[in-house]
Amino acid sequence: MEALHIASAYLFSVQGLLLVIIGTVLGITMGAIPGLTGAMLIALTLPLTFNMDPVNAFILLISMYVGAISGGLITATLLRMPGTPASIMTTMDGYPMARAGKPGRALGLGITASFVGGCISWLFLISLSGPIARYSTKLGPFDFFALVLLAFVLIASVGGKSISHAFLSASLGVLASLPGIDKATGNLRLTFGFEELSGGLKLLPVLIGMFAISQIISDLSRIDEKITIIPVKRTRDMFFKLKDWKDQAINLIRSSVIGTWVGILPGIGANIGSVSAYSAAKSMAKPAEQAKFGKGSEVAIVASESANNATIGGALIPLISLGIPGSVIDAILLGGLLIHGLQPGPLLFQQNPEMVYTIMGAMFVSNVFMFFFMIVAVRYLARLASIPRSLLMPVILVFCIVGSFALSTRMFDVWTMIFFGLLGFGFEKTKIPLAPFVIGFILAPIAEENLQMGLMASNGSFLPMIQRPISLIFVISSIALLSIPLYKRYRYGSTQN
Amino acid sequence: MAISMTTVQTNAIKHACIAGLILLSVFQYFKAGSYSGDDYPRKPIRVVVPFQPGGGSDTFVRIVQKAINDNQLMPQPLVVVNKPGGGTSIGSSYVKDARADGYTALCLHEALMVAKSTGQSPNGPDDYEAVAATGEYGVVILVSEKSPYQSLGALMAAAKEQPETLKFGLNLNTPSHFCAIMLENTLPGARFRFVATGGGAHRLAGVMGGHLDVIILSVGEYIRFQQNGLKAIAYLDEERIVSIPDIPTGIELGFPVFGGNLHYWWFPKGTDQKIVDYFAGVLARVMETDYVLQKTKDLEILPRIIVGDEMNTRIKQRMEIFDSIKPKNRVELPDFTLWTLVSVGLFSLIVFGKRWLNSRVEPQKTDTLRLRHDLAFGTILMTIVYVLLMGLRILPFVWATIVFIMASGLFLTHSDKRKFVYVLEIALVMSFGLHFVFTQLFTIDLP
Repeated sequence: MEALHIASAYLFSVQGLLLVIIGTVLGITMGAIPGLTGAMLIALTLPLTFNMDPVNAFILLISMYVGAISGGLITATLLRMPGTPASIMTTMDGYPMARAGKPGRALGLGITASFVGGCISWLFLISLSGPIARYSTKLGPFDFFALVLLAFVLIASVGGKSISHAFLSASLGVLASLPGIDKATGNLRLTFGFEELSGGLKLLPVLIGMFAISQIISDLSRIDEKITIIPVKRTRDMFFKLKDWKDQAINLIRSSVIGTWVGILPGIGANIGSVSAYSAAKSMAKPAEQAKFGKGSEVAIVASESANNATIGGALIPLISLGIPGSVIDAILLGGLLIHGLQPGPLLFQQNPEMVYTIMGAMFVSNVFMFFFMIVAVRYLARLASIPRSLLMPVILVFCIVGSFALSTRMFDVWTMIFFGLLGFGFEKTKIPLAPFVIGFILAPIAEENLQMGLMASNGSFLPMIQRPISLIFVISSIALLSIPLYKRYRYGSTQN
Repeated sequence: MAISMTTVQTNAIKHACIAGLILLSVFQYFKAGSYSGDDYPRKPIRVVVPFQPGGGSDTFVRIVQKAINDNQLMPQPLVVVNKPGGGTSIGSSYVKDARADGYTALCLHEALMVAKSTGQSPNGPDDYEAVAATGEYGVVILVSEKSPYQSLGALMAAAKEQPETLKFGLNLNTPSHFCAIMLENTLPGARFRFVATGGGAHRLAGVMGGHLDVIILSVGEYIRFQQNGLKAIAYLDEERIVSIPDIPTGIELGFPVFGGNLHYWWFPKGTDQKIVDYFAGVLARVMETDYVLQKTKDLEILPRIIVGDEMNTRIKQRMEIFDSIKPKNRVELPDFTLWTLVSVGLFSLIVFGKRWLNSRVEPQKTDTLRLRHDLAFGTILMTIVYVLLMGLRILPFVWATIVFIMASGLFLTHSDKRKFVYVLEIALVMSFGLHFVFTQLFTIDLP
C-alpha cells in the first residue's frame, strides 16, 4: 500500500497533474492531425524524458497515449480523415452524421464513448492484469492465424452490400502489404528492383493516401457545392442524456470488452479493436439501425470510439505484467521503461510497484481530463470544418506530405501516399469499399507471419489448425459467418440488383 | 452587446497576431541556418538507427547521445534518426548515399554484415568507413524450466538423435539464424527445426506456451524476460556475464560459438580520415562516462570500444564466418504472393464481370452538382510538382511550400483578391511555422 501512496503523491502533485494536462492535450492535438500519430509523438518525447524521474516520465507518456487515441475522432468526424489509424471506423459514421448537420452530437457520442471505453478497460487493467496475460501466451501461431482469418471474414461484412467487392478490396490490400522482406525467409519479394520498396509500403502513407488524398480529390471536385456545417454551439448537445445511456449501455459494455480483449492480444492494436466492435455492433443491431451503418449511425460511433480507447487498457496488461508489448505504442513504452532502468514483467510488480500504480493511475486521470477537455475544446476545433475548402485543402495537402515524410524522412513515402490517394479515388468511383483494403493491408502481415511460424513448427502440416481447440473455434466461426449471408442470398434471391 | 469590437478591429488583431508568429518563425529559420565557427562539427551530427524507436540498438544509441550531449563532448549535439524497414537496408542505404561530410552516421551491429552476406541488402562493410565498435553484448540459449533438456549438452544430443524435430525460435537470415547454424556445426549430425518467430517477445511467448523447444535471445532481452520460467543453458560469447556468472559459456561446454555483437559506427565511404578519427575519439571518451558505464551495466552491455586495425580485423573475420555459412529454408512454405494474386484475379472477375453483364442498365444520374475535376486534378498536379521540387532538391521545404500554397490557393480561390491576404498568411505560416515546429521543437527533418 506504500507504493500506492507514492504513486498518488506523484500523480496528484501540481507537477503530476500538469504533466497529465500537457500529455493529454499534446496527444489530442497530434491525434487530431492526420499523419501525426501517437506512436510518433511518444517516440519523439521519449528522449526528452531521460532527465525526468521515471514516474513523472510515465505520467506524461501514458497521458499522451490516451490523448492520441482519443483525438483522432475529431478529424475523423469533421473531415473524414482518421487523425490516427484507430479512428478509421469512426469516419464511416461520424462524418455522415456531421454532414447531416449534427457535428456536436457526433463528437459528443465519440467523446463519451471514448471516456467510457477507457474506464471499462481500466477496470480490466487493474483487476485482470495477471491472469489474462498468462492465458494469452497459450495462443499458438495457428490460433493467431485463425483469429486473423475470422477478423477478415468480419471485415467483409463491414464492407457494404457486396461481399465480392469487399473481398476484392481486401485482396488488393493484402497485395499491397506483400512487397519487401518476407518475414519468415528474409528474402525480398515484389520490389521490382526499387530499393526503397525493400522496407515494404508503410501504413501511414497508405492510410493518408487512401483516406485523406482521395477525399481531397473528391472534395475539390465538389468545390462548387455549398457546405453549411452547423457549428457545435451548445455543449449540452454533447452530453449523454438518460435515454442515451439506456440505449447505448449494452453497446458500450460490449464494445469496450471487445476493445480490451483485442488490446491484450499482442500485435493487434486499436484499429482492429475498433473494427471488431463495429462489426459486432452491426451484426447485433436491429435491421432498422443496421441500415443506418455507414450513413451516420449512433451505435456505430459509440462502438468504434469506446473500443479504440478500450484497447489502451487492454494493451497495457501484457506490457506491465509480462513485458510484452500489445501494440506499436506499447513497444515504445517498453523501451522507455528499460531506458529508465526498469524491468517490465512480474519483477515490476515486486520491485517497482509504484510504477505499476502510476501507469494505472495516469491512464485513469488522463482519461477523465481528456473527457472534459474534449467537451470544452472540441467546439473550437470544430470550427476547422467551416474554413473555406479552397483555403483548407492546400494546408491539408502540406500536412499529409509532411506527415508521410516525417515518418522515416524519405520522399518515397510521399509518392506512396499520392499513388494510394489516386487509387482510393478510383475505388470510390468504382464503388469498391476502402475499409477492407486497409484492414487487409494491416492484417496480412500478422496472418502470414503466424501461418509461416506455425507451418515451420509443424513441418509444413496444416492439421494443427483444426486440431487445436482455440483455432478450431475460430475456423468454425469464420465458416459460419461467411456462409450465413451467402445462404440468405441463395434463399431469398438477389433482389438488390 | 454594448461594447463589442467591430469585425474590422478583430480582423486587424488577428492579422497582427499571425504576422507576429510569421516574423518569429522567419527569424528562427534564418537564425538556425547560420552556424558559427570553422571546425568540424559545425552542425548537429545525425546518427541513423535502422530500427524502430525503443529497440536494443535505439536504446543504446540514445544512451550514447545523452552522454555526449550532457557532458558536452562535442560542440554540437548528436541527433538520433530512426529509419526502420527492409531488414536494415533502408537505414543503411540512406547513410551510404548521404554526403560524406561527417554529419550523417550509421550505428548498426553485425546485422549489416549478415544482410550483405545473405543478399538481403546491397550494402556491406566495404561501402562505409568504420569509425568504432562499441558496447558488446552476447546471446543466450534458453529453454523452458520444464524442458527435458536442461543443459546445452542434452539439447545438442537430442538434436542429433532426432534431427529436425526440436523447434528453435529465431529469425531467418539474421545473426540469430547464423548463431544457430554455427551451433549445429559444432556437433556433426545435429539439426534443429528452425521456426521464424519475429521479435524476442514472440519467442518468449512461444517457449512459454510450449510452441517452441529452444530460443535465442540477446542478453538484454533475457534479463528482461528471465522471470517468466526460462532457463538459460548457455551464453554464447568469450566470457561469462559478469552479473549472472552461473550461466556457462558455449566454449566451456564444448560448443565453441561466438555470438557476440558490437554496435559499429559507420560513416559514408570517402569521409575524411580526420573526421573519422575525431568521432572515434568522442566515442572513446563517451564510453568512459559514468552515465554510459551505469546504463550499460544495467543492460548487461560490455562498455568496450574497438577502433583501428583491431576493429577492421574483427569486421573481416566476422564477414568471413558469415560468408562461409549459406542458410537455407528447410520447410516448403505456401506462396503467399500467388495466393493473393489468384484471389485478386478471382474477385475482380466476379466484380467487373457482373458489372459488364449488367452494363446495359443505365446508371441513374442523381448527382446534379457540376463536378470540378479540373480543379481537383489541377491541384493534384501542383502537388506532384511540389513534391518533385523537394524530391529533386530544387527547392528546400520552406520555399517550395510558399510557392505551392500560393499557387494552389490562388488557383482554387480563382485569384479572388479578398482572399489573397489569407492565402499569403497561410503560405508563410505553413512554410516557416512548420519548419520551426518540426526542426526546432521536434528535431524531425523536412525535405
